[in-house]
Amino acid sequence: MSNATFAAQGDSLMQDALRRLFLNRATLVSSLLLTLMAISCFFGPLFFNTELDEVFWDFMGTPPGEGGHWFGTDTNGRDLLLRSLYGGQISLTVALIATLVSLIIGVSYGAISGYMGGRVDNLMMRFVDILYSMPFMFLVILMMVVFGRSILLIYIAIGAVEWLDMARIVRGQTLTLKRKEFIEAAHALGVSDRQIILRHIIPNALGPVIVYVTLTVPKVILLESFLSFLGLGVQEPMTSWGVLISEGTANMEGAPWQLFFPAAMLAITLFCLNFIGDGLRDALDPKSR
Amino acid sequence: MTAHISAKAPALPILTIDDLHIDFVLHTGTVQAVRGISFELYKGETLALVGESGSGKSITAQAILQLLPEPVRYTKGSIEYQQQQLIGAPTAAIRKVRGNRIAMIFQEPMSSLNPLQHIGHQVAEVLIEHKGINRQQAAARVLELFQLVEIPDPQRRLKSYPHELSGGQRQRVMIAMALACEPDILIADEPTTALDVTIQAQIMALLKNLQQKFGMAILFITHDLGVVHQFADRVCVMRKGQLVEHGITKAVFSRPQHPYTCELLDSEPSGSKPAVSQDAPVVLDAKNVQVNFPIRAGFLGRVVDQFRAVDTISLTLRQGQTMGIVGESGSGKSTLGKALLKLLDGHGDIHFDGIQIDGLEPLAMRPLRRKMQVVFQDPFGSLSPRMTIGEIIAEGLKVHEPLLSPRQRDEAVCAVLEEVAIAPSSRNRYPHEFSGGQRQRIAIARAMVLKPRFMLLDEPTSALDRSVQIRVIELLRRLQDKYGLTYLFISHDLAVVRALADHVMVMRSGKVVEQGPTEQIFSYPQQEYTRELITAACPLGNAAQRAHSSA
Repeated sequence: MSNATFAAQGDSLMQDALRRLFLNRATLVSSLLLTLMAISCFFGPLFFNTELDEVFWDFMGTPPGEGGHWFGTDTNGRDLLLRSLYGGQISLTVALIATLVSLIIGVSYGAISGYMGGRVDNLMMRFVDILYSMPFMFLVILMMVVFGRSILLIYIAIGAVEWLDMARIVRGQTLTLKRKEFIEAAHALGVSDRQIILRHIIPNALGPVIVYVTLTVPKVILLESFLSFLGLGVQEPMTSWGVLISEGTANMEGAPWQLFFPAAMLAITLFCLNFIGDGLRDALDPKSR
Repeated sequence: MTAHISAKAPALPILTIDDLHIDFVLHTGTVQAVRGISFELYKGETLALVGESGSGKSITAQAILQLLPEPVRYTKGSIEYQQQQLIGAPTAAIRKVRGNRIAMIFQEPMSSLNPLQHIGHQVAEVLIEHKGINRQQAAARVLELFQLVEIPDPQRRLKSYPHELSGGQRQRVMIAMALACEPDILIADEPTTALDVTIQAQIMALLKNLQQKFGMAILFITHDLGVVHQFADRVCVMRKGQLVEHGITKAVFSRPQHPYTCELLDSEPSGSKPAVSQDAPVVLDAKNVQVNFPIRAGFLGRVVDQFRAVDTISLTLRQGQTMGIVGESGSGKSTLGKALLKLLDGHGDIHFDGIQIDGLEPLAMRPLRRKMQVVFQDPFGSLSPRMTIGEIIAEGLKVHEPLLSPRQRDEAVCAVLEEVAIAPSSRNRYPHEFSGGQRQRIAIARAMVLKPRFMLLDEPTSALDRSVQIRVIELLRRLQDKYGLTYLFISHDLAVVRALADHVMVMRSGKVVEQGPTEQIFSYPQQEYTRELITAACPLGNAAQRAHSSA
């Protein structure tokens, strides 16, 4: 049917996946939009001749458009567009770093645990259970005390908590994959355990992993705002989408734009990530073309 | 095709299918699954729909009960049950027919039963739904049905869960469920394919018996010509959604008209393999192999008992020899094979090429791995779906000949693909783009690229259609002749073993029942169990030979 016409000349899974990724229109549009979002967050502020914490005394909590403030101003009279862009820098970096950390630790930990099985698996998963039972806040405060306060620490702290779920998901996938005949065939060929995990288990477990990553990103962004809200995350005057949204929620009745704009930016980002995740999952599965 | 050839020729057919066309509209295009099928089914007869996978036989059967999922289109034709048009009939009307007047049994009895409900309850459900009787009456009727389908200890079985039954018993429950409303038509979609041969014979005998009792018509869907030959009155041969031949079973088998029917009849594996000389070098020598699986219980997983899957088996394989291991599922034949290659832990003295391999560390084992290769049963599970077939075949080379340049590796891959008759230009495709037979060739290529001396073939042909099977068998024979390979061939399919092996070992519950040269085992079986197996396999041999002589 569809694959009968497929060209005999092919590339590696990665090249192949990339090509198919950009054939998917939703994914293509989403990637462009996300790139645009990232560029404007990181480079947009350069075109402002005001500062992040500059207070416009004449414009306290004014709606969008007044006095050249396109997104309006917050209750302290600071430009909301500029603050949303700066907030985006923090939120996008958190999303990227924390997700990467959780991805790398979680996938390798889960794959090794599931593949080794038996006592090793038992020990590794009990360790995960112990970490699960630790209160997250306690962990963060502990890290703050030991390493001092820095935004980088927040990234690591969040990533260090998020990988637990990822490890469990990958372990579950590995347990089912391990019984497949192609793994047994690899054994019979004499392929080493390391290579089996890298070449056979991880690529085949990617589908659920990618879906889970797209769910992790919003969780991470919201977790960061929670930490910031408690005063453990980013500090004024710096801000993040999560902080802006929680401030906006407080003023929702009087100044809805303070909620709307940061929330819209977050929503667009998450939508894009979901579409990209979907596209990636399909592109990485050779069966879907 | 309109001439009604019926064994019994009563007045009116109860089911008439006329010029049926079924399309599936997918986003990649329209697939014409059934293209102009016509046949009639009369009361009390058994009509077999025969064809290979993809011929549209199951789709036709499901169309009768309007069970096909969207996006199905009935473009043309009609399905009439006692003058009632079923295509496009309102759901309420169809429901009155489904399970009540026309019942169906499926191939996999495990997945057709709800694992969380007692089987008695599940059968009663049908009665309550269609007959409107209360629970007590239904329970009494279920017991009757269980007795009818000869389930041992029926009273106790009412409260059993599906996993507590054997495959054959589950299929009996499915039959009881289908018979609950005394249907006019029973559609049996490959009802015995998942079962062992001896169980298959019992189930078929039961169906025949019940048919005589109730006078229902059976529409029997299968790819197994042996079963058709023994049980069907009439046969319809299907190919690619079309009916190629249609007639009384005996006539079709002795004088097939269509070349495709001849091809199907001829695809029964034939030939035999001469024994190798007694002084050929010994490749694999195993003594007293045992494999135990621990039975664990309790919170800490304490080992309470051992299940002996392979019980003290010894065997010797000489170069060029093919040893067939036959036995029913659970007889330990695959476990034995894997233990011999140290793919799982066993006890016993195993020598490969003169080297003692039991107790060898995985690292020390690796150089030997290239000489002993495996081909598995499931051509869909044994190839990693995310690697191209080129990568899959090259993987072993990467391990055992790491010094090869990418170009040399590629050349080796092309050469071996050529050897198994797959176009080397397709090496950048993914496994799912190949058919079952092609995938099995790829699995063989993966093993062959390392130039092994010994191959463990674990049911390599069981998942394939007969006509595809025969090509894989030919390939295996050719490779053996060319490279002097030694095979250990595990199968439950006696016909294939007879064609391929020169020595046969019959296994049952982890023990050897009988072993010896192939012809001796098949012609003069010494043990009762071996005889039972051979009779149950319903060989087509005689019919096929008749076809030859008259063709």
